[in-house]
Amino acid sequence: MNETVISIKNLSVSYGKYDAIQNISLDIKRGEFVCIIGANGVGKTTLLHTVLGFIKQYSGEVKVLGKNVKRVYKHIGFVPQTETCEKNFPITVEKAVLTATLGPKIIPFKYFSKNDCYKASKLLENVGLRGYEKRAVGELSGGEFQRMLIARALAQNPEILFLDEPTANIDTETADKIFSILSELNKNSVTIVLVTHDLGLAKKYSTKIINL
Amino acid sequence: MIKDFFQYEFLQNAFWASLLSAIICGVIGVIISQKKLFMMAGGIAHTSYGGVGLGFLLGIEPMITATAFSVISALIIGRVRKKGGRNSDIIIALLWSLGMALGVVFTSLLKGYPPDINAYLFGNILAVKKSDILIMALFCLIILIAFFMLYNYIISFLFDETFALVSGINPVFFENLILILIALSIILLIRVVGIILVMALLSAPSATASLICKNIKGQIILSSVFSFAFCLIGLLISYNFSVSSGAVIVFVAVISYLISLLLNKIINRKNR
Repeated sequence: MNETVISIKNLSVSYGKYDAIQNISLDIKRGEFVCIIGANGVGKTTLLHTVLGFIKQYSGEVKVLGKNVKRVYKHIGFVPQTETCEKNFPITVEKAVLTATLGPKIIPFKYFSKNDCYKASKLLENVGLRGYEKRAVGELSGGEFQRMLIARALAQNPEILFLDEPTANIDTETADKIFSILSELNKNSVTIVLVTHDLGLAKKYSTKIINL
Repeated sequence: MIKDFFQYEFLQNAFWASLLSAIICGVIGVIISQKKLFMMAGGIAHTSYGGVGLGFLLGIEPMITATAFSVISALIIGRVRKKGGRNSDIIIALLWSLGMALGVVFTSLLKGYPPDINAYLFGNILAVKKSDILIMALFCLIILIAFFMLYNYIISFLFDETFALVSGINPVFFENLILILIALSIILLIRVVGIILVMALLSAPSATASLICKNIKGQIILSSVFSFAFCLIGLLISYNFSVSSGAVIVFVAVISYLISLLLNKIINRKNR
């Protein structure tokens, strides 16, 4: 429980002359449920994206599971903001979840087995989307789409799950449901790190709040 | 026309060219349509005209130099899209025009009779030769093998590039691969509808299919069927009325899309 899984030391990120993050240091321990909160523009998403290795130019040190994040991608899951996805892309919910199981090694003519589909069904069931396997992702509501993205991230069997604004543009009841799913995952030893605007939900479910 | 079809080789060539084009429009058209890569694909298509001009100037088969121009411009445009920020549209538009300008400059430097440039700009399916069919079949094979070999990886990348990165899929490789496949498709279609009209054949059938079908495999199949039908109808009209085949094919494709869109709206309104 006391093992540090994310270590950030003196992290600063700038976009040209604009300082997005200045000299942040923090540690996140295994099993924590961490919410990063703050007003618009304080650098919440920048912090998350730097930890995930999307932002390459920064000063300071960032380690995930003691290594550069790119070397531990197979141990982490990520739920991006829904805007990064092609929401009307013509694939089924099951297929969207299964894409997470492909991994970095390219296997020519890699197709999904019945066992893979069964696992996807189980993951969808865990996030309350039982029976949604064959639906097109474009038919999902905002909350359902977000839960599908969580199921997809879980298909990677992550030790740490990162989420970027998982309840943005979602009604209060659905947002609570999503946090409750994350809380269950956290009880099953998945470390949760998420960026949110919702202080109420952060207080209700998280074990640690980082206010930027 | 059926009797003529068995009698004349050029009609048989046109049939095979239609079929190969249709298969590619199904696969690549759906990618362009879903990722809204119309501007990029248009840029790649028009830049290839520089290659056509250079081929004529150097006395090399224009399709070879057009392929080189098309692939290189695809990779440049991909880079510009990623790094160009707000200027990316301007740079793509300039590359688009630069390619056309180079084509004009190269062909104007030619001595003697000017070559038949119209066949490259507007296509002429009735002038497709056996050698063209072989090149088209080769390109078609390369595109299909690459696409189906990496089908699920490509789908993952197209659905969510950010997530693909975290799951370890190399986004740069897949972006470049898709752009190269688009470039090869454009070259394949130039003989059928030409550089200027190629975007219509890459977008109209897939856009029509997306109105009817909501899964990607269905869209690919339906888009191929539509493309084949548009090409054959265009071919039929062109042969019987002696009008430009490329233009007629595109006319049929665009009209069919507009009718489908209208019908779709009427059906949706009734279902509400």
